[in-house]
Amino acid sequence: MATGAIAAALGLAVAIGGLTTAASAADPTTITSVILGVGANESQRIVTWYSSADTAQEIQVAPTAELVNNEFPANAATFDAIGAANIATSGGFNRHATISSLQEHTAYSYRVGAEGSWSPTYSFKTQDFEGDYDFLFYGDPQIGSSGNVAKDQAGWQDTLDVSLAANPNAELLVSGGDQVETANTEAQWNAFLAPDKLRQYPWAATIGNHDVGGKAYEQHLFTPNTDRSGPLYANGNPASNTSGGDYWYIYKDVLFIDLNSNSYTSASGGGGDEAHIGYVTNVINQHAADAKWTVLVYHHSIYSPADHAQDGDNKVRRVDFPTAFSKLGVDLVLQGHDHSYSRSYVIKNGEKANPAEQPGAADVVAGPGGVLYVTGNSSSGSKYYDITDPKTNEPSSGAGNGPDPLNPDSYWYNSVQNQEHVRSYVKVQVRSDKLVVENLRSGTCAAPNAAVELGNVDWCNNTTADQPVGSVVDKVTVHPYNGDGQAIQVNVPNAAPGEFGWTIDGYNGLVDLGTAVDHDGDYFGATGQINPIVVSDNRRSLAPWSISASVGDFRDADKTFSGAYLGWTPQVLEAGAGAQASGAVPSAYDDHGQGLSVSRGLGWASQGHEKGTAKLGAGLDLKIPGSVDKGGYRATLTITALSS
Amino acid sequence: MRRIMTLFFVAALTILGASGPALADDGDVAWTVRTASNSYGADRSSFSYAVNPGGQVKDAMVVANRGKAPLNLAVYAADGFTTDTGQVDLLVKDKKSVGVGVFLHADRDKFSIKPGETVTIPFTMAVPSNATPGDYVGGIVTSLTQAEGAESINVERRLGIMVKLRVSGQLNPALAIEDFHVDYAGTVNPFAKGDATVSYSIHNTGNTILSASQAVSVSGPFGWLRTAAGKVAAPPQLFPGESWKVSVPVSGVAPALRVGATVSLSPLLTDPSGSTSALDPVEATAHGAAVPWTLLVLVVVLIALVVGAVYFTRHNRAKRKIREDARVQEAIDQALRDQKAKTA
Repeated sequence: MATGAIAAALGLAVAIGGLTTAASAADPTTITSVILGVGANESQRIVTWYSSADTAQEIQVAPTAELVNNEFPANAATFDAIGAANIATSGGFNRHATISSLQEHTAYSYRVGAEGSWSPTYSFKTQDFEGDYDFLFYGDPQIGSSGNVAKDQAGWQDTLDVSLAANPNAELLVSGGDQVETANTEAQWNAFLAPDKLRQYPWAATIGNHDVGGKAYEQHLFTPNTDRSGPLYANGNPASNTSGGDYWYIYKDVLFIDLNSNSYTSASGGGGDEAHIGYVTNVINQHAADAKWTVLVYHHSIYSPADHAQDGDNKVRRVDFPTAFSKLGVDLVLQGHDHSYSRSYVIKNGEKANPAEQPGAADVVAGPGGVLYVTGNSSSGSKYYDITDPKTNEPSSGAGNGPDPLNPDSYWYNSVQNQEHVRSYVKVQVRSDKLVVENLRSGTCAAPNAAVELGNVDWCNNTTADQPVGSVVDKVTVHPYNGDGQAIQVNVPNAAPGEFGWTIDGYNGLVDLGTAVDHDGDYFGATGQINPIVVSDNRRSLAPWSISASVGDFRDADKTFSGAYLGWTPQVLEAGAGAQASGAVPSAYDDHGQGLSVSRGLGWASQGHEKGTAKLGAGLDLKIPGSVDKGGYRATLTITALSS
Repeated sequence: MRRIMTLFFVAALTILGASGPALADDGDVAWTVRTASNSYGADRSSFSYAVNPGGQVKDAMVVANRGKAPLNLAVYAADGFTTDTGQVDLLVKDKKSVGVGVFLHADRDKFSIKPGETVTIPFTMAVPSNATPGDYVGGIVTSLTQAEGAESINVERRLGIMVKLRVSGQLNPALAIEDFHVDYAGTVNPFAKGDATVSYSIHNTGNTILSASQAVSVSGPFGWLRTAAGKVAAPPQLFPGESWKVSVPVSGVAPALRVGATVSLSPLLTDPSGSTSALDPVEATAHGAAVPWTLLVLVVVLIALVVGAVYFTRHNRAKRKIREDARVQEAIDQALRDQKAKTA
């Protein structure tokens, strides 16, 4: 009963710039808010920016060494940007582009826009794609929260300058959330984005409660592997005027998972903590084997020391998260929201993993199931919260805010709590055998320190002589759990990544169909087996693989019949390597289909499958109509195994 | 008379035609492939490039012989395509590639590799200066073929690594809904709702890899009695030019004589970083008949019964009237006769 078949072509007026009206020559497109973001791995970066006009735009990238007089070479890689119109209060349009296939140890220059309206040229560098590295974590810049955007910007700028002067080879800038005070106020975003360091080092964005109430966060900060499904939004609606979503990326031995902790209860419409735990579980199952460490980042500190320590929503998260994180093998959790620094004890299943762990211990052993929770202080000086007292009538475990038996002034979960009303940042050294977490001062009581300057806080107890810029507030080394036995470590330089391979029994040949048998003059049939194929996969990436096959026409001189008459039934003979058998395909004689004349799957494994080997086979079934002429026919069966 | 036919599929495939039969005794052939560890990284599971038209990239694949016998392998590139089940396969050797299969050249066509040995195969991805911008998918394979047997199924065994290429320039993601129709199947129960099947093809008419989220619904005239299909699985990532057939059952559709099916596709453009951007939805509508045949039959029967009943009632009444009239007439006649008799 088919009626009209209607084809609809997709217009991309919104999604892809340039298909709509171009700006007139007298009104050149201006590019603003350029920010370098983190990509899916160390060989990628994402650049996001605003444009005044809805024009076709692109990014141009070249190794800095190839620029002559700051001019890009003719062969500079050039890629289209993708984007959309901003919401009305932002004005303009947003664009982003992913730079991929970067090479290690290379300085790159880039610019965005279009011929005639390029942004200035910015640059960044890549380092070794393997091994040790440092990243920096910044608690709430929250530009605008002091009431003075310029002063907040000055403090933020200074923290970036100080921290990167001290750590010029830091590879990532990780956000603790709350980039700005009011979600859609572009003046605050402009101040946040003012420091040029944000175009030289990748910013790994995190959404805070002050960012969530508008689309500006999503417009400014495009992130990799982002799941924007409803449950990961606080109100369950990605199309609404809110930002959200969870994302992950792997940067050299660390799997980072970044959550929108604004969605913590399903009562508000989203999937709440349950949805985040589902997301974290999936990502860890699929990708954690590709990294040595798992670091979670989200805004709302669950083991905070100050104003938010006793918040009702945090008590909910403190019930929902810790046991799941322990079971999943999370190593470090980075949080913001509380504008004060804290370092937890090693927490396992919502309790101290080791009740005897001493406050301020310099070395801790994480496992098994132990997780370190760190809260960043204000990185801009826009707002500080003061340490609050634990509740003596509440338990010292689980969701409780009771005191630490070893240090009754402190919450039971915190090994270190600190608030001096000076700016700080957290430096994390990723090493093959440890994580070193440090909280470092990036300022003093002196300006720029907006909250102190403006009298929003009435004290500042940093002593410049003993606690200068760059001095250490806290430092802890986290040693991974290596089992009970004696740990043996071997360093293998340039460790070979896993391989994808197969073993085929070469002796018996691959196909034996024997002689076709006459079935009552109806058809000729022959059955057989392909020789089993042993697939071996020990790639660290746990990436998908697939095996498929197709057969050409059967030929004997000028006589021919279609390969469609060959069907098969794939089987996993020995399970492993995540192997799944593809569906059976009947001979065309049975179903008038295409049999193996078109590509058919033998087996496959999806992302995150276990390493190992699997043995795959298939029963072959050839049924040829009686009308086919006698002959000795030959066909070529092509079996292809692909690492993807 | 039909000729007696015999087909032979010979089993004796040697591992390698060129290596001679002695190697067959060694049994298994086993080899592995991986991406080279170089400045692009050490842990890549596949190759991924972004290249300008006219540009080129040099990279390498590493092949290791894990068996006990030397191997002779061919190496070449081929274009990729999506199979009916959503897997990616590569064109067979005698099919003509136009993308990655043409752009990518290994620095040798074949090579020998001793047991336990590892060989690095450098290759160059050279994108022609007139290459169309957009996404290309293919693979580089190592291939072990048997010697040409007399009467048999030749087997070409290929082990390879996927290659994704984006050629820079204007991206033009576009999807079309084609071959769209809706079929309706009623039920024997005249008052029950039936099942509709909505089928269409998703055609990637643009130059980027695209998937889509789909929503399907069926409604009666004027959009009344709308019934939404359940969650429709997303199609696999479709390469430029590819189509994907979709058939969606929608149950509980009212037999409203004429049904309209609406398909809404939100194309999902996957960024190289793995995030998807939803583009403007594409919508299409098709109509089909949803005639409740059993109900119609029932109605016809009922009408017939009513008409019949009316007819018979009238007929009987007429007959009764005729009989009554006759009886009255008879009585009158009788009376007249009686009167005549008296007067006579």
